[in-house]
Amino acid sequence: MNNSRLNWKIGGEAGYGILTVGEIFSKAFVKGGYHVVAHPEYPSLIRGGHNTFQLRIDAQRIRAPIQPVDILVALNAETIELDLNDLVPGGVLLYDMKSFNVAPTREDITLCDVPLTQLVTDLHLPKVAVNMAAMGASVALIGYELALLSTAIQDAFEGKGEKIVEQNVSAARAGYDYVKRAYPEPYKGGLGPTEGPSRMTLTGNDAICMGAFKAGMKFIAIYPMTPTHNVMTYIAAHAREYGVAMVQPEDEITGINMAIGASFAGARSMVATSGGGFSLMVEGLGLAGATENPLVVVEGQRPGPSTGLATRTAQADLRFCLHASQGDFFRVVLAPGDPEECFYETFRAFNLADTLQTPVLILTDKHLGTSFFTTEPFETLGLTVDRGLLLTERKVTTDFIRYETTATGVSARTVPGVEGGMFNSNSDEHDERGYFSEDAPVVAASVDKRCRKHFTAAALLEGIKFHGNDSSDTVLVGWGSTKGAILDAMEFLKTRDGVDLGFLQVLFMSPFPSQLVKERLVGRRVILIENNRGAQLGSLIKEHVQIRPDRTILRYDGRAFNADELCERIKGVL
Amino acid sequence: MGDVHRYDVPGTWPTWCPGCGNFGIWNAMKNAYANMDLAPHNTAIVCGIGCSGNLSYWINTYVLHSLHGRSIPVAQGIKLANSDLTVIVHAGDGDTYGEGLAHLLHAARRNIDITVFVHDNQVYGLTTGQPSPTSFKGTKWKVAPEGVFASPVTPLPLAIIAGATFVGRGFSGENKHLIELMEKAILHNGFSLVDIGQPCITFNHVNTWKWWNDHVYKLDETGNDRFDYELALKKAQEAGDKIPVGVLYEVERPTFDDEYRSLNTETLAHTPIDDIDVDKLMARHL
Repeated sequence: MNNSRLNWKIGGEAGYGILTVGEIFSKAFVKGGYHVVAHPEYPSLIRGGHNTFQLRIDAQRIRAPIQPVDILVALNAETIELDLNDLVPGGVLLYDMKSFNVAPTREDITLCDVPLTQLVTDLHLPKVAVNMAAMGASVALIGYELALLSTAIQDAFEGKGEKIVEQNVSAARAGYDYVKRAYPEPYKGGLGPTEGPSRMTLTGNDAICMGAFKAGMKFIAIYPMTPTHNVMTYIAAHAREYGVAMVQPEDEITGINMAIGASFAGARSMVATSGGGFSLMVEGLGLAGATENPLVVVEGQRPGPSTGLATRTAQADLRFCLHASQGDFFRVVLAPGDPEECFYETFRAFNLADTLQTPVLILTDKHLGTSFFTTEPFETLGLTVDRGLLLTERKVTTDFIRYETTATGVSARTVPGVEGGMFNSNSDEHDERGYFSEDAPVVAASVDKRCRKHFTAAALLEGIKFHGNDSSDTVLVGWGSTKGAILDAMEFLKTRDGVDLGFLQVLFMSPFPSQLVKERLVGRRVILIENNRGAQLGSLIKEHVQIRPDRTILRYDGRAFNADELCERIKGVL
Repeated sequence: MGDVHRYDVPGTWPTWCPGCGNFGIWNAMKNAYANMDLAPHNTAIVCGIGCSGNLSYWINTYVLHSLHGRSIPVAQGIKLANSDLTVIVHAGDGDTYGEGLAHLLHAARRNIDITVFVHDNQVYGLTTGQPSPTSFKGTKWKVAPEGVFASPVTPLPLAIIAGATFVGRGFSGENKHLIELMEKAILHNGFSLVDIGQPCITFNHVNTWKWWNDHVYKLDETGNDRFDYELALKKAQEAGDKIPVGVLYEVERPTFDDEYRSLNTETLAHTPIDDIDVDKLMARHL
């Protein structure tokens, strides 16, 4: 252990602000120049359940959680019962011995007893403030700077007034002062501020919202569903500032149909949901495909089928998103792997929806959508809105044919209000004017038109990213949120074991980048890594390029891969 | 007053059965639009699926021929994106009171400024004659040989209770009356529902032209007070020997779209989006 990295975890009863604490604590370290990866784990309960927040801190770029943890902060007895084994030998358990009478069962750890309840009672603060005192105590134990924590607390509470800020800061200070006195030696020599550029701390879903705002999204309908609930919160907080209409519909069916209506009227539109809500949207997805109305759909995956595990993670909806809806039409399906890609690909998704006039699905999951990552501010200079063949004139004087056959499959589009541009945006199979047709050649031509967009899209998109050693005999393959764990595992393999691997990240599943995938995989040993049981990307690769992965590493217990765990599993199949 | 034929789609004629009640609604609709001089390009009509929804082919405005039951959600999206448009739904009883009943009630409580015309023939016609949510209890059908077991949906009192600010009933055979009713519904600022009785001459052998003519009476000939909520609820439930047509209920209430309209000086659909600054958002994450 050197003093440039640390793994910290806090656990407590639901309702004790564990998520808020995690966010504040993360920012305190980002302000001191560190990278963080932080993830909450919680059952689908509001009060009484066991919540944890784990924070990995490092002076180097990091992208995924690891085990074990160096410091475990227990705000309830359950944390000791459930999470004690996460502690590294020699690690520290920080808790208030007087608050709950649980004797830790391990002898290879250090106990740090801090009377958190007494400290906040002395300050006449409500008991919930123990979370602030625990953060202050942790900062002292880590040997970090209290001022950076205080600033992070101030940022978090400044909207609630000076008094609230002062109370929270004072609780943190009390915890800090106590540990400084009682345990003057910081853990492993301490972790001081480091040099680093100014970085953002944000979730994948935050980045998706920012990308959508930047792209000029004007309408969004969201029915609350984990793990895209935070999209709703984020958009709501900034909707007025950005002139966006956010509607909470009566169900996801309404949501997607409203979004299609808004899109037909000319507003860039989006819906966000999880697999269950997307199941309800499937009919609407087909409507957007048939009528060729642009639409962006965010599908934040969680384990299923049915209700599944509401607050856990999975990557098992890939095939579902690729095939959802009856009939033939082209849709884009893409899967960002980190907040940066969430931002840029969401921006691009709106351009693709407009230029291809078809739905674009963004696949994320609970891990990417709700964990916190650090990233440098996004470069927005090169981002240009492209609305494709949307006619901007207020009057069309020539004979307007909405669904005109074109080489690209995309035809000019008007919106209501444009004189002379009237047409029937028709869910029935239709001719070039949108008029219902059962005439065989007309039907075939219309199906061809929609499906031709596949080739148009394929010509526009790179579809993959290759990371690491491109001359390695063995290539890791993955998609979406496993990107972070794969890159960090590769880093461990390289630095600890001298194994330098390459990683093929598939970014677009539709259109599938067959040629590029084939080029990178043919003749190499392929290790497929996915957060599902069916190896869904693996089946796509087999389907499109007839390459079968040599080994698969799958996890489908509702949890994301830890980088160290993944590293070991890769070593096991090398 | 505008020209009725400006709403015709040249070279087309409806495929409804000769004698279908839809012709009366189609005709009344075009006359109402002409009387109001609705500009076709500023009018968005959303149709459902069924014989009523096929009207989308014979009306020259912007049209979105949507899904069975989903036309009300689509219409709300259009109105929110561009509140300058006149947004009208034409859907059937299966559409609106079966598959889409929840949408109707929620749109009513939002009081969004759209107008919903339900072509209520009390039957699924395009699928060759199954009972619909408004078919009478006990009526016999090929697929309900013992007679319909359930009582019919009562959409008009439901809509009033849900918060609709304009509720009426028309009859396709009373064309002049229907034209006036449609105009009032469209002019009303808020959510308007007009249930329009129409015979299905092919599959509904109960609610025939004769049946309708024998049962309807005009509310405005009885000195009815359409602003009286209690009375409206009572009148909306009349379903015996006499069925009222006309405006059952009307009230003014702030609309959902007005609340959203305050977000922007321009409509959402026309707000420039070329150069949106997200630096402020990024700064909040630093």
